Amino acid sequence: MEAKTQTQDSADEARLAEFQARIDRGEKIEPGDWMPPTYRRQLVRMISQHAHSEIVGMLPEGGWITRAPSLRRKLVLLAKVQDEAGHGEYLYHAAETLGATREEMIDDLLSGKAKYSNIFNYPALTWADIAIIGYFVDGAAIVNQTMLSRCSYGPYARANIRISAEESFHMQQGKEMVIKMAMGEQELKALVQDAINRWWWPTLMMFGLPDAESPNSPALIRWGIKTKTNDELRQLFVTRTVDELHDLGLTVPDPDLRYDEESGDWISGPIDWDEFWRVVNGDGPCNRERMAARRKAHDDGQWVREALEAYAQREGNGSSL
Amino acid sequence: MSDTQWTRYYVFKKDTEKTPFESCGTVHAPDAELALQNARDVFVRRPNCLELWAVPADQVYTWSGDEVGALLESSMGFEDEGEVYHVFLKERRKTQHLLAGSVRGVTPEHALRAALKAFFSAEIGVWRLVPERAVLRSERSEQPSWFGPAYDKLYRQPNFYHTDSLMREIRRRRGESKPDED
Repeated sequence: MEAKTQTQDSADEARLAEFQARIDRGEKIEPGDWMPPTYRRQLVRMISQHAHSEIVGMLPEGGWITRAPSLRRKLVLLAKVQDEAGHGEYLYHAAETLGATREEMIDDLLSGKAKYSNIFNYPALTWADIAIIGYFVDGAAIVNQTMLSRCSYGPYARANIRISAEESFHMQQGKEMVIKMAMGEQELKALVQDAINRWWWPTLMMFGLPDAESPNSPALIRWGIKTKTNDELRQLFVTRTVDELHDLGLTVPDPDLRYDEESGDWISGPIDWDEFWRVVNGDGPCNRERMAARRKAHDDGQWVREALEAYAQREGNGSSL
Repeated sequence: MSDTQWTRYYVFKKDTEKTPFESCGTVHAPDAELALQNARDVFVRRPNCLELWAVPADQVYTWSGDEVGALLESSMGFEDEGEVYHVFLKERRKTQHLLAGSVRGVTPEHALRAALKAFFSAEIGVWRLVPERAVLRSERSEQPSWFGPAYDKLYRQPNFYHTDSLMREIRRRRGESKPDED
C-alpha cells in the first residue's frame, strides 16, 4: 500500500514539474490538459467571483439609466451595462471549461453562498457616482484584467482579453464626465468631490487583502494565474489616479497620503479592513438590496426561459440535438 | 433539463474577408437558432463581423497537441474521404483558435488523421474539429441587419472620449496659472 502511494506521489511530482515547465515556457494551459487540483479550484473560485461581479455590477448603474441627464449619456450607460452582462457570460463559460456549470454558479450567487466584488454593495447616490464608478471602479478593474489577460489558463486569458478591450470605453466615459464636472461650476465640482470621498476607499479594497494576509498569492503567481500581487496592482492604480485628480483640482480623502520621491509613487494611509469584512459578511449599505434585485430579475425571467424551452421542444430542435 | 443550463454551443466568428474564422467561446441556448442570436449579443456588440457559426458542444471534437503526437506517423498515408470537417488550431503560446482549413473524414478520428497530415506542427497545442453538417451559420445576406447596427455605436469605442487631450489642456492651463519659479 505504501509503495503504491509513493509511486503515485512521484508520478504526481513528475506531472507537476512538467506542468510548471509548460507555464514557465509561456504555454497556455487548456481545458483538456492535466492541472493540479488546487490550480483548478483557485481558478473556479476566481472566475466565478469575477463573473458574479460583472452581473451584480449592472445593478448600481442600471438604476440610473432612466435618470441619465442627456440622451447621449443614456445611450452610453445602456451600452456599458449591456457590456457587463456580456462579460458575465464570457466568464461563466470560462469557468465551465473547468467543470463548474453555469447553473450551479448562478444558484450559488442567488443563495448567497458565492461572493461578488464588495464594491457593488455601496450605493450610487447621485449622477456623479456614475462618473466615479466608470473612472474608479472600471479603472481598477482594468488594472486587474489587463494582468489577467496574460493568465496561464487559456479560457480565462481569452475572456479577459475581450473584457479589457471593451472595458476601456467604460473607464473613458466615466473619466470624461469627471473631467467635465471638475471644470464646471463650483456646485458640480463639489458633487464629484463628494462621490470621490465615498468611493475612494472601497475602490482600493477591490484589489484584495494586503500581500502579507493573502495566502493564495505566491501559488497564483508561480502558476502564472496572476503576474502581480494585490499591493502592486493597488499601487499602480493609486499613483495614476492621484496624479490625475490633483491636476483636476480634486483630492482623495486620505489625510496620510504622501508622495515618495524615490519611487515616484503616492503612498496611501491604512485601509480600514474591518469595514471590508463587515461589508463582505453581509452588513454593507446595499447587500440585501442587491441580492433581492438579482433574485427578482431571475424569477421574473422564469416565464421567458420556459417559453423558449417549450418552443424548442415543439420545433424539435431542442437540447436533444 | 435544468432551468438555466441548456445546451452549450460553440461560437465561431469571422471578422473580415481577410481574417479566418475564430473559435471565440460558447453560449447556452435551448436551440441552435437562439444560440446564434445569443452569440451575436454576447460576441458582436462591436464591429466587425461578417459571419457567425453555432455548433452544439457535443459536435465539437478537441484534442491536445500531446495527445495527437502518437497518431502522427500512422496518419501520413491516410486517404481523405467522408464528410467535411473544419479544422481549428491553437498554438501552444497563443490564445486564439483559428480556422486552418477543411478535411474529410468518415469519423471524427479519421478527420483528425487527415488534419494531422495536412497541418501538423509540434507548436500546435489544441486541435479542434467541427463537422460541416453540425454548423448553423448566419446568412451573409443578413449581415447588414445582424451586424450593421454595431457600426453606428461609436460611443462604444474608447477613442470616442477625448480624455487625453482634455487632461493635456488642463495641465497646460494649470502650468500657466502657476507663479513663475525663476
